[in-house]
Amino acid sequence: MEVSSNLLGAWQKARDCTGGRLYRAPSDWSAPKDLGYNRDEASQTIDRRVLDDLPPPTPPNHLHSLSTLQFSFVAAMASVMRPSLLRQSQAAQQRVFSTITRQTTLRPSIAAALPKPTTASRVAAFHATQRKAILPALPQKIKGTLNEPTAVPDPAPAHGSYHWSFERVVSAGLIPLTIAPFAAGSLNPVMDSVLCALLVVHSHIGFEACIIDYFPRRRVPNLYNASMWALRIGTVTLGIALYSFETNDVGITELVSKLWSA
Amino acid sequence: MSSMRVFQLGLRRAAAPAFRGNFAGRMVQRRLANSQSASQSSAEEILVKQRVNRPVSPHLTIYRPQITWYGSMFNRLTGIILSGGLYVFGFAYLAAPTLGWHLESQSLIATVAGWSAFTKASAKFAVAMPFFYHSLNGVRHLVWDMGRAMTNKAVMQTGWGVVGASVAASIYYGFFV
Repeated sequence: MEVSSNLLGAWQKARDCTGGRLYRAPSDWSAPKDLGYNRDEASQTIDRRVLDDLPPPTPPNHLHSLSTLQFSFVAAMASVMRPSLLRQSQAAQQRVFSTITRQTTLRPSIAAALPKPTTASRVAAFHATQRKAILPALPQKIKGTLNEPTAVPDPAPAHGSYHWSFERVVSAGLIPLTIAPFAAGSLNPVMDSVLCALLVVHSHIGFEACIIDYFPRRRVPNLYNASMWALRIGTVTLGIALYSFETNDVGITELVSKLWSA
Repeated sequence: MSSMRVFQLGLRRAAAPAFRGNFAGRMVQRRLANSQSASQSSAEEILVKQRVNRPVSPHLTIYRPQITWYGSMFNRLTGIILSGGLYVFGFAYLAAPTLGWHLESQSLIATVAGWSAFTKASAKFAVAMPFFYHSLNGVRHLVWDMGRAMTNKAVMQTGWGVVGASVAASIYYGFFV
């Protein structure tokens, strides 16, 4: 009995002290602004609803499962330890409303002046590692709905094993053409042209891989297409330039060799 | 509520805990949310916008630098530097007649010949370093493609081996050739 009346008294006292505004929704309760949701307005409404609807605090759960005899015993003990129980009951009263945080006693003017938490800080609060925005997040659009499976590309050897083998053949072909000039001092024009052609193909494949990795088609289709076309145009231009250099000038290996000993 | 009433309530509950002992009825959880209906398309837009605010997975900076992934990173970087240089030279060579530049081999050689020994050596080293690293690491990749040297230990050993060999070759070709 003592416990119950103490609890009730504490609750009523606390409510009176705060002018009926004891509980409110957490001020940083997350709702995106995009929803057109006015946080302050809503929390005012919630304040009133909470106070009107919530029942007065009840004794902790374990007291209710006691027998009458035990209850009287606890009550007798409680009357002896009244001051400390008052403190405990205040704590219990906070625990009772476990889904609602208590309002920090800030005056509205001060509360308005404080910076409101941003979405980023609210998100970051739930993570142990620091959020470092090296690059902005790419668009998160999903084609169709969330429940559609990822499209599996048709198995085509030209885009799979042949492509892979072709890349390796080009790379492996570059090895003798790279070593030969070191041994012989230079390359004859035909071999030099072959080296140039392989370099163009190898570079194109390399840049293509970079574009696929860093500008994913699913996320940034326009950037992906633009950079792919820029690469194709650039590679063709490079081919023309190297053809011109090979036919009008001394050739790549000869140029490097002469520049090195200049 | 009078204390008498509270006492009665307490007694009643203590007497019949099975019927009234469950607190679910009184302790209704309230989720204090304000909701607002949205059409399918606008809901999708909101979702797409909200997803951008999701935490980004930890980036490279949180990982310990290791030869395995640093070597891989430098392989791509040096490749971009070398190929980028080739592309830029090609574009400039094509544009040279229009822009009045002289990128024929004779003019280039004459320009480099005018540099100081220190500038020449530095430039050679700066070119040699990515060239040797990418070339040697490319061989390493081809060895992996044959299914060899794929253990962690071998990857680390060959990784450092390539670094050492490319530094040595670059110093030799930069400063002594």
